[in-house]
Amino acid sequence: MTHYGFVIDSKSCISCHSCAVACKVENNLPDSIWWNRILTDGGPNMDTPAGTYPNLTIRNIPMGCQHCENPACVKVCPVGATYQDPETGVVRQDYDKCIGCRMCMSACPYTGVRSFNWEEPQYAIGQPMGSLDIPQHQKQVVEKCTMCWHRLAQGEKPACIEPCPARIRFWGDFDDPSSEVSQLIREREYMQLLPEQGTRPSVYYLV
Amino acid sequence: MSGTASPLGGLTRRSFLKTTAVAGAATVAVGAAAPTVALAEGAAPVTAGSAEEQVYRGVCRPNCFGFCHLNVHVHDGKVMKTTRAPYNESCYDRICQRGLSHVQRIYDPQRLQYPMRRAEGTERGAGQWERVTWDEALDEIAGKIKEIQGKYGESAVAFLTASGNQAAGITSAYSRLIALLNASNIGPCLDMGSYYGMAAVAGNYVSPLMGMMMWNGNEPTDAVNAKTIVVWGANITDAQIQNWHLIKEAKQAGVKLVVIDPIFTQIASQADKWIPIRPATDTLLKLALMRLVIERGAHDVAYLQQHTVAPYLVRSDTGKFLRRSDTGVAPTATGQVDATTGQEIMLDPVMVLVDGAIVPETEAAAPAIEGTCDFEGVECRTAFDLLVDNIMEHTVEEVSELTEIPVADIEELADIVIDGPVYHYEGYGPQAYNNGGQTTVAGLTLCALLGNLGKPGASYGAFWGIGLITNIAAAQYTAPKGPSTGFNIASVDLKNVVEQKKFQGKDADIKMLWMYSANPLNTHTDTHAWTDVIIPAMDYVVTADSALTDTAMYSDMVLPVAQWFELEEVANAGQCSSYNYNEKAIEPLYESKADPDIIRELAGKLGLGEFFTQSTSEVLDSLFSGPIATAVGASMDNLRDKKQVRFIPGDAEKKPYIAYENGAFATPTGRFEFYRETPVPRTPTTKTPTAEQVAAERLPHFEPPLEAWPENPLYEKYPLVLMSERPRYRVHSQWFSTPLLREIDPEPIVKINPADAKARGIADQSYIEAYNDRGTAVAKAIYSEAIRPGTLVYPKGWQLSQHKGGGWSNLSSTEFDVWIVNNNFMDVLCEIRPWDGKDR
Repeated sequence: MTHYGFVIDSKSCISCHSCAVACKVENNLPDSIWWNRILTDGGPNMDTPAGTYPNLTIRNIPMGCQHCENPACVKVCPVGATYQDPETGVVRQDYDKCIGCRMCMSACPYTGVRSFNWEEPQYAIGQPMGSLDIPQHQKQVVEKCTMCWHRLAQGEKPACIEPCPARIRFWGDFDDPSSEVSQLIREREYMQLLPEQGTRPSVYYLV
Repeated sequence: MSGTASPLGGLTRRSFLKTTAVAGAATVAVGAAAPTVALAEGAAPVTAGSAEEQVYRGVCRPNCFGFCHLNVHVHDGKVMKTTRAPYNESCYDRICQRGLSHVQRIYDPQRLQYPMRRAEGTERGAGQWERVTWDEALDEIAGKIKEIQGKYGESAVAFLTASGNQAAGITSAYSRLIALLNASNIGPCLDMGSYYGMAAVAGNYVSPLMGMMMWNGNEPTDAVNAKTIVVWGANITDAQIQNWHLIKEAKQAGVKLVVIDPIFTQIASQADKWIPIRPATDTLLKLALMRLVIERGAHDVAYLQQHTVAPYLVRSDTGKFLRRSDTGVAPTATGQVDATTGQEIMLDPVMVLVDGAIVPETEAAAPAIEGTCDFEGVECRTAFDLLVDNIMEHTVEEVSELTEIPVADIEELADIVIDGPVYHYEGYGPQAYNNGGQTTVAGLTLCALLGNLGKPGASYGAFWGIGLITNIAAAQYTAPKGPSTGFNIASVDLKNVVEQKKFQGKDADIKMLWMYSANPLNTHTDTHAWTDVIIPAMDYVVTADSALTDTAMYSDMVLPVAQWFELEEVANAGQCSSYNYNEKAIEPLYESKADPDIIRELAGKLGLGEFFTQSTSEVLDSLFSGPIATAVGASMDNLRDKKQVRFIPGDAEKKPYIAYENGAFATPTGRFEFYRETPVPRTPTTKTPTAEQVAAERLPHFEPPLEAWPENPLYEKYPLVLMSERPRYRVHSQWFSTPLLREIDPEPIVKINPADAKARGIADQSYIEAYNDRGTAVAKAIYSEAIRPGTLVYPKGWQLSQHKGGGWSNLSSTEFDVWIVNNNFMDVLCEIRPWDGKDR
């Protein structure tokens, strides 16, 4: 079998947002929609540290859909629009089946990884950007990280991997013990988000 | 945990972060990898065939130092996206959030589409425009040039540029026109402190491949060979993120990272040791480190003897080196000719001490670095002794008090810098004060004392060079009838020249400004100097840009220019020290034109058409041609083929470039000159150094900054040092209106320590007004403990029109140091108050 997922060496993440911008452009995301975000583990505002000057710490956590092995979203979708691809483990959204009930959004413990187009999607520039192979964004449809399904289909990695200037994003097959991602989680300490939820995310953060 | 402003924010649950497992605890089921072809079946619907996509090589060139190679993906004549392109050395493959967002910069709805003239009867800056044709625009400009030159002289027309589009075709086109017009040139004074300091003591290195290191240092791939990387005021993780992975990889290989910065930057958070320092005191810290080096006897005597001016005897009467000619022996001929002067090089060695005897350096294998002697009644001392005198002026305790660094930390840092090799990476923070040139002088001198230069892992500086092939070939191209007879005025001195109408002893009456690849009203200091003095003194102001910048706003005519991927170019600079080839990917948008094409059309209207008959590609062909270009691999054919050609020796991965190898320095003596006989200002200005200033400038020394200093009486009224950062979501003022970046970073902010904010009744995320006697700026206050109490930090590059009131450069001044002639970006005091809703 194949189990695709991500390893992010978040210890060296500098919150530059290159992954988020690459995702936004590649997937022609409408205005104000982001599938990839950077969270600050620190002070009250983005990019601010915890503690009191000069005793400070900060950590950055890039976050998108966790492509869980035991996804909470799939269980609650009444129409099967949210489903787990049996071949790859990728959690997918079928825009045409989605009825916009947003049950998946409330069931997902990872707040904010899904987006919902309340209105007709708006675009800041007057032409599509990114890949020519992505499906059209639709009104009143739930969307999220597709793991760049269109790129996987062409044997390419997701768009967020290569551009990371810190070179801390890795993607691959956890079922292949010789893959880079398998090696990384064998050799390094890692954490996952909300393990107590039992979702078994396919995103591992090196610490 | 917190997210960004609105669209990216929202996640607040602490429970989100829990460490689950250590390595190996969670095991992976063994299974065969499914071939990716299997995916094709379930692939997303394909809306268009990607077969028609064309990929061009682009060079991102805002001068963040990167000059990164990008793939520009074009479909049906339109850019779809930009992605990372391969370098010849894959360690340099990179792109960033700005490079990835080009598609929205190119098609930014706010991009200028056609030439615009300030509406008749409106004030400059009022923002009232009328659309004109190119013919009307260029006819008017040509008429103004002729009229103004006829009335006030040729030098009355001036051109100003910075680094918004640093490339050979554009630069040479403007240079040629400037020379033919005998127009004046307004030179940038942006971050020149480090350059001045480096050039002063270590010289300007030009490689055999004709690359000049503007900011010399070992290639960043060499940092892995150090024991410790010491970062001095370099916000690498925001401003030069292309280098972060190299620092990270060095760290992962066991190199320690020390960061010295007033601000807890992302790289400070990654450091093994962060040393918070009071702004503008880096030179003092370096002097204290030198003191500890001397006190511990850790200095490298052999290096000092062989590669520095340490043993040179200095005359107490003149401050000059004691030379053999002082003893009555005339300089002897060497038979060698100086390439720049064409004159024969004469040998007149400096005198040194050997066992108490005064002998020419040429006859001393191991001259004394310490000693005093009497020469015909004049006391002479070694340069080393004079340096030690300066170093000993400040005790470690005094430095501790002024830098606000505990003595123990200074002692520990001394241990670290002594235990080399150390890779010192200096940023532009420390040089952003009036005393900024000395920070580099002192840093390099510290390394020279320790012999921590010219070896793997041992470096001081950064790494940024320019290729000189165009300067050589362009000597004929840019000045076909000789160099311009106009003035060369430092931009920071332009206000003085405009007010005094004199420069270098001549009448100087600048009446027209043409600004390109630059936004001085925003990215230079003291916006009011421009809006209130310089611009009003002009009869005519032209700006060529792709966006309506602050500078464009105050112009009489605005010309829309092609962006980077809309013309063929060679970017001859950058942090890979290479020529970088940029293909034309799309036609210039709307009515915009490439700068060289604008110049060509204008030249026709000025009667200079015969000098501009070639296309830009033909010009590039001739600039990058001839025996030298071919010999160093920088012929246009090779550039078009290879895309990237290095102009310094070495290979980033296999043999990183080492600065000052073998103790060679491009100084007058060929040695490291921590003592300079004749300090020279970086560029001539309306000021002249006094005798006292000359005497002080000969050696590393500390002077307080001009303004940001507690002894300054102004400090009582304005107790906050106004610092800035090179922004993550812009470079200088570029990308200021790129929509997707504005979603992440929508408006001007100022970061403030919560204690300082609360003391002034300022709530988190509320609007404040920063003010001093020069001006105001309104921005949203962001509580951040990363900010040193007593300071503010604002990300640069917001246009005046994006502020609710004022602008950051309203608060800074055009005062400048006579030597470095630099913008004092951070030598600024201010106070803040809650904003009352008024735009002053």
